[in-house]
Amino acid sequence: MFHKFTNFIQQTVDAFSPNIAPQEEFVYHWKSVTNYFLDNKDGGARIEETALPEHLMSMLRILQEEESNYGEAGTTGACLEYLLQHRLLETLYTLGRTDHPPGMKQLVLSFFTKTLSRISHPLLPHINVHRAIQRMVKACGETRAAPTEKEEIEFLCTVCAKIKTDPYLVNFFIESPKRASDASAKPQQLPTQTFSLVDALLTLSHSEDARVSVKACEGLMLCASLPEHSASNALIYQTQFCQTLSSTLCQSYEKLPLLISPDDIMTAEAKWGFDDILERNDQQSFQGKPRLISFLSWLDYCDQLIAVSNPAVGEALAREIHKQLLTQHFLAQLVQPSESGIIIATFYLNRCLRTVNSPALLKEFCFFLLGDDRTVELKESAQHHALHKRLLERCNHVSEEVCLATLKLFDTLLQKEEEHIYHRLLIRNLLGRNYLQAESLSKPTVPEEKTENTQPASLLATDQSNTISSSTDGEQTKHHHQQTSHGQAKDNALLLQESDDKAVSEDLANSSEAARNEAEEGSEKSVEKNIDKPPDKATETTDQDQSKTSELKNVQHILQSSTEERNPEETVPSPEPSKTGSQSLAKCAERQDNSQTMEDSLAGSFGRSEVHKVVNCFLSLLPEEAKSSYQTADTGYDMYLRDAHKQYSIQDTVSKAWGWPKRPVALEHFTTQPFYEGSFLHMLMDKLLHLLDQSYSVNLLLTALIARVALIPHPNLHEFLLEPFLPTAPGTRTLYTVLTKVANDIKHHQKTDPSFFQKLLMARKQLLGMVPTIHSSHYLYYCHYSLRRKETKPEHQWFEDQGRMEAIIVLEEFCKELSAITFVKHHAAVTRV
Amino acid sequence: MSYAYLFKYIIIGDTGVGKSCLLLQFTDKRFQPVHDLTIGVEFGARMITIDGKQIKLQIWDTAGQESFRSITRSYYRGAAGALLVYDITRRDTFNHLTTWLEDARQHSNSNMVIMLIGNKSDLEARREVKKEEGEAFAREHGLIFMETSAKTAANVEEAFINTAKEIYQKIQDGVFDINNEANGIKIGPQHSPANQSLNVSGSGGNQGGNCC
Repeated sequence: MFHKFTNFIQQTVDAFSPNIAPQEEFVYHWKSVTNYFLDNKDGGARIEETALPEHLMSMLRILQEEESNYGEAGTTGACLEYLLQHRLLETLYTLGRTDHPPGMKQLVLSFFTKTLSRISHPLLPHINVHRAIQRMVKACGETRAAPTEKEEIEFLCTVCAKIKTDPYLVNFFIESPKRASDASAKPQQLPTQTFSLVDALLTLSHSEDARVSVKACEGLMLCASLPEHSASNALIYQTQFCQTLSSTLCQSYEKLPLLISPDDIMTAEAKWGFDDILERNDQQSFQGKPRLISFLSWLDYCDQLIAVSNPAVGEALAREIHKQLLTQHFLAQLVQPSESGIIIATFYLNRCLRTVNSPALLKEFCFFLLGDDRTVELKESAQHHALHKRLLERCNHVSEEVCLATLKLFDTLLQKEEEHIYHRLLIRNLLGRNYLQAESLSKPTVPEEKTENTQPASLLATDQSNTISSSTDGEQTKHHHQQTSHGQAKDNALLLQESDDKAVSEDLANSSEAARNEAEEGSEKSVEKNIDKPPDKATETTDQDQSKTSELKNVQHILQSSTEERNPEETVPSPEPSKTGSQSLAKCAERQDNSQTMEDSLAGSFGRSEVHKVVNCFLSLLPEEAKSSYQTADTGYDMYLRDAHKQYSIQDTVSKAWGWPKRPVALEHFTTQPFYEGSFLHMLMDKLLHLLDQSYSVNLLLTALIARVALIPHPNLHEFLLEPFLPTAPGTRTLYTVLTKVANDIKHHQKTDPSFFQKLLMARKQLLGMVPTIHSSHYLYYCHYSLRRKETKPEHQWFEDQGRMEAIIVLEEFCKELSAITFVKHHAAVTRV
Repeated sequence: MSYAYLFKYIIIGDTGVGKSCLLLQFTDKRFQPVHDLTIGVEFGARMITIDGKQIKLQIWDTAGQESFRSITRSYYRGAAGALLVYDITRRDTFNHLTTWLEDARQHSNSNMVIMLIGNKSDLEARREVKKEEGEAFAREHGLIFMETSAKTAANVEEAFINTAKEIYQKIQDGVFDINNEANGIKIGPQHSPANQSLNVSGSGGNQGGNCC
């Protein structure tokens, strides 16, 4: 009660003597504070019952007023001078440390916080200030769940903010013990420094109070992102920063539910921050969701932290996460004997991968999954990365669930922005380019057409002169196609030859293949229709006489209107990219030189015939009798076009930074004898070859994966996958040869089974029963995903060969998708020139 | 209280333009002239009604200081709306809008609704940025615009609610995929069978109001 009275007197004094000097008033308040402690050594009053808060707040007010009156920066007012000279903050620290009267620590903390944040004069460089502040920092986070947590975290974050503004200040908070007696001992062996600020924040990041822990995480972000070398070194080597953050991640990994559906894992959304608080309050849609959310949001925090950190800190933390979470936890789960355990672990890993976007952490995930070796992969080799090898084997696992889970993991990997993934999985074994027939690479005597044939590989040169079609027939028979596919090749060649100059429909009318004429026209028409019309218009028959040129223009228009304007620099043929690609480009330039002139002469005739040849090649892989899409709905070709265009522009932007060559390269040290496409492509081709014997869901995922690979704008990969006329070395499998083989099997089946078409149609209708239209194979995939769960129910009547028929339908859609991708890539290359 | 939708907002802009005051005025209907600098990100919540539907707004108030930029960026993700605030009495805060806008567009989803706000409209005498300039900037960048005063509460309600209306409209038009929580929109718990969370979410709102 007494203090209220003094308080009253004080206010009266204030009111009656406004001319009292601020310094006198300041000193008066300070003396009142110190006197309290002299007079009340054993008083049991709580802080709220004393006048201490008022005195301290008055001091703060006077300091603020003084500063605003002086106006200019750099001048130290009398009160501030008093505060600095008489070590007020150090005295306050001592008083607060005892927390006597109860609440004193909170009061001092908040006085420190406010002084630091409200006074713009740089206080921290003063030794009397930073010594007190540093001592206070050490007193934070001492006891868990202390009542002072809130004030502590505000204080710490204010200090962090000050440091972040003037990073050199951090050196005041990194202590190196300098004791004379220690000089004789070897100081290197023990942690020589302490970074108490980080220690305190680490403790508070585990607070039960979500607000406190989030703030502590923010503070850690500030500390980790300091550019100072001393700070990053101390953080990495003198604190438990990396270890604590990683082990928190591992602890929440250990708590993850093991009985959980893959869908729930993959659809869970979690972002670091207050989201976490809110999600905990959210309704529980499945058992264990809070634990999953808490794991994912901590992973997201680590990822964000690594992204904003000083690179040295980010890499150290990423390595620690690799060591602790991936190697010590995930690995055992991934290689465990239990199949269901493998599946769940694979999905968890997949989900983690989706969250991880910071380059440093993503790299560690890739090294864990795929290994870090970048040299060419040999077919039989002991140096395979064990987990990578295991994952590839699982793509052919007897358990379909395991196989699907693993394929999905690869699907996610191929959507990440990390060059290493593409290099490891797809590109390295193609860089030698020895999938090409030997003489087509080196012999100067090859006929002109052939030289061109090696060319189209490059994105720019997918187009070739018309002369090629006249020789395709012979050429293909010679080295390209397998004996069994000769007929098919001939058909194609005929078709291509015809479609060269005149309108397709006209050509087809004159075609000697009278028996197939009608069907062929049907399919051609539908493609034409879709290419011709603006995408939103209904399907109608279009003018068949329309010339190809205008048709192409239309498509170009559709595609261009569906994206933003291109950058002006994109339209300028850019010189060789300077980064990683320059080396390989230099090498490839040697090879390119002789064909350069050829290409230049071709530059004028881009875009007309060749792309149609390739597009048709994919579209006519399946005989018309094995196609069913036009029977039930429109073919959806424009959807594939738009989808491919969208995906391709994303891919293209992403890979620009990697400096991939524009034309195929042939690098000596990446060749294999005989040619080996690498284990991942090998697996994809093997699976594609078994399309007819695999389940619908595997096939959908497989084709979606190959389509994703086909979109990648690397010239070697492009020609290997999407160039049907590539003169390949004997025994080399390309995507086209594999597809042709499958198509031949289908043809055989179709000829021997009289009810083939009815079955095919029935299968398609059943699949479509789920959705009215097919938008893309991905869409189809999701439809099927729900279908698959119902499989056990008797309502779903299985008929003979249904799986086979479904596979044929997948193949039909896949061919459309591939041709759309080819077109879009070609289009992009042409418009860029 | 139960809600039909939950929208996440962020408030961005230079330090000292009145972001925290706007939030406090909106959530607590009061004005606090002396305010410590926001450290990192603070949080508030309030219910509003649009088209007869209860909508919960969850608002992140970010620190304007440059030193916190890297942290606030990670909060841009998953926001459906943003209030971009400048101070009509300080020309420099207006000049920095382009940087803020670039930052927001780069780190958020492309459909995020952005409302430009010229705050401190009560200080007419000290005005440095004309209303027309704000309007022109908004027009040029496709933003909604409004001048507010966190002190007198003029237009504060409108600023938050108009942004919500715009988001709501985008949902109706099918622009926002409400099933993807990364868009900053969530469907309320009444759509799901488990209703036990209702009390909790209500108290969450109160808590948010008090924190500032």
